[in-house]
Amino acid sequence: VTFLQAKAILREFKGGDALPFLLAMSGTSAPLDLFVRAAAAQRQRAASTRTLAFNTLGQALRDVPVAGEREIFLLMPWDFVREADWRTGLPTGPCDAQTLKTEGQLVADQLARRPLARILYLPAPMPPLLTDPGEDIALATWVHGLAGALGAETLPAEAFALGGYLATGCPITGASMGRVAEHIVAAALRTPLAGRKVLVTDLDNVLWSGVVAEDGIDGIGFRPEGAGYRHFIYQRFLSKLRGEGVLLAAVSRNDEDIALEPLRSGRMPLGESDFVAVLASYGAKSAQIRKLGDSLNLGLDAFVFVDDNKVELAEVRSQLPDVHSLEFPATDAELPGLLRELARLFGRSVVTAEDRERTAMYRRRLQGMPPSQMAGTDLTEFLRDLRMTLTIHDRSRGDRSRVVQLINKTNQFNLNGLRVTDDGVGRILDGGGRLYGASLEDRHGSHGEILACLVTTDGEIVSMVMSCRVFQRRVEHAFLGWLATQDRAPKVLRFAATNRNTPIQEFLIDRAFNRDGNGLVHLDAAEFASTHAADLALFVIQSPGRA
Amino acid sequence: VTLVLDTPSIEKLQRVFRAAFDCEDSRDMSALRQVDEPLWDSLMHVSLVAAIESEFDVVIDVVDSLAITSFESAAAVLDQQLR
Repeated sequence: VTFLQAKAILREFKGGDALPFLLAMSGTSAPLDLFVRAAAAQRQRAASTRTLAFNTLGQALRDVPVAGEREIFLLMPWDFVREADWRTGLPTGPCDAQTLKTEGQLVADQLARRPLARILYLPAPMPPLLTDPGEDIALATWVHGLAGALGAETLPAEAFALGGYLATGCPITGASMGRVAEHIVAAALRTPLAGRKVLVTDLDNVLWSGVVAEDGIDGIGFRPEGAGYRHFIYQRFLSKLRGEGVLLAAVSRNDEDIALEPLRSGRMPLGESDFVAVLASYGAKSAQIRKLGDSLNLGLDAFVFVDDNKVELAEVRSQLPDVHSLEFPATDAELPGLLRELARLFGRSVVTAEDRERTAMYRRRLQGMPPSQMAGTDLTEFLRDLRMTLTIHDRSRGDRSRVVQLINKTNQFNLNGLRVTDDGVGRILDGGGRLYGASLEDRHGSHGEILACLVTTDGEIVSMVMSCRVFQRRVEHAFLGWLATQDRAPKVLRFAATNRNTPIQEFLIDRAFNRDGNGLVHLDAAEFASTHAADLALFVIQSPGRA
Repeated sequence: VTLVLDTPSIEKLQRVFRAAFDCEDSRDMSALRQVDEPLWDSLMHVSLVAAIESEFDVVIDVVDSLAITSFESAAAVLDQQLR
């Protein structure tokens, strides 16, 4: 839309619902106003913008937001690093990169605390500030990344012209105003991500490092040291959010008593009473979250879900698109990004006494809420897109230490909980038995050796375990489906229930299995292979040949 | 200086000036000068330059922006830009 077209649009506009918002930028926004009103009019909305006095953005960021006011920040690099502002004439001496970054981070933190803020970032060129030109490029990239971490939408760089900025103080070229105004109005109309009320977190490898059902409470990490360090920081941050009125809930593929053990231990920053609900079951996480929303009488757009498992995230995203799902990072370096995003989503300017009491209030409301066993969404498309390769190894010969170790440390997907010795396995193999391992790779990388299966010469599976890291990917179905089509396919499985192996008990509900009451589960290999051909097709199978 | 700005461009610049100053369609803006027009303050100047840039898809530099003090000088700056 050009200047004359914008004028014509506004002449014809008969009025519409008001669209009030703050348009905050450090230069003058006066010429933009016409274009913004025209862009809004095209959507039958009457934009009315509050703008800032020239060069008062820094002060405005320190001020408390006006209650309920939607804010659009149109930012340039020098709004993060003021030394980079061309209009100040630039510093005459060299700058220190770390000092500039600290300054930029401070601005980012201020922005992250504004719950209704929408950020547009114009990557205008920065002047050379540092001695090393390479460092200048790195600084510009870092500032852009900082804006990105705040959820900023990037505007085309050509929307900035130095001449116009120096001449008038308006950083946007006249030729780009129509386009920039479109972005501003679209941002103002977008439902803000902020205003979230409930943080639903996974437990294993999120609230703590490790898997409590496998590693036990002494084997998981939540202290400020080693692998547990960032989980400790995450817990402390959640504790802060809880104090500000955010409701915390946990959802975990676990048995309830196992999931609650660390929370009841008194050793972690967070305890059971910090959560409105701890939902532990093997049902779909989307079903748990939906039920929690019903019980709390809150819409799903009030929820944020944090998990480390891409499959769980995909399931929730696909079933509950209104829930804002975030991945718990795999590296320490990504942790600040997650915490900043959570701070933004749950940011509020005032914390009341009621906010602090909210958890206790909702806990009373939810007392006794049973976990849901409802099935989730069909993940076939998502799993296919993971491009999984299952490599099956014949470990009957050579080094078998990894698979023996896997059998002895796995609790949840464990056929009978029996521990084995290397000698004991050796005797079964000497008698004609077979030992399989399987490793999994997908487009994100390798998951290592995640499955072990020991079969006697009579076709009895005496051990079968799988790492909980790969639950929900149909690996167990694919592996047994493959094994069922091999020569000397297994006929029975030696099953025993333990207080932790619910996942394998659910697996054995399949109609191809038939329990005889003496601890043996008979396998109809042909039936299983036929029923699970589609699961097998999700994988590229690399196998040692016919067993 | 002989202007080579074509008639449609001059007409369009007339429309930009009329729209910027909210004048009626019949008014000839060609004699308008900043010194005679009370509405032409610094804020109007910023909007006028943005309007010219928007309508003619040009970027006007500091020196040229300062040189725009009348319709005629605006036409001259634009003429340079469009050559």
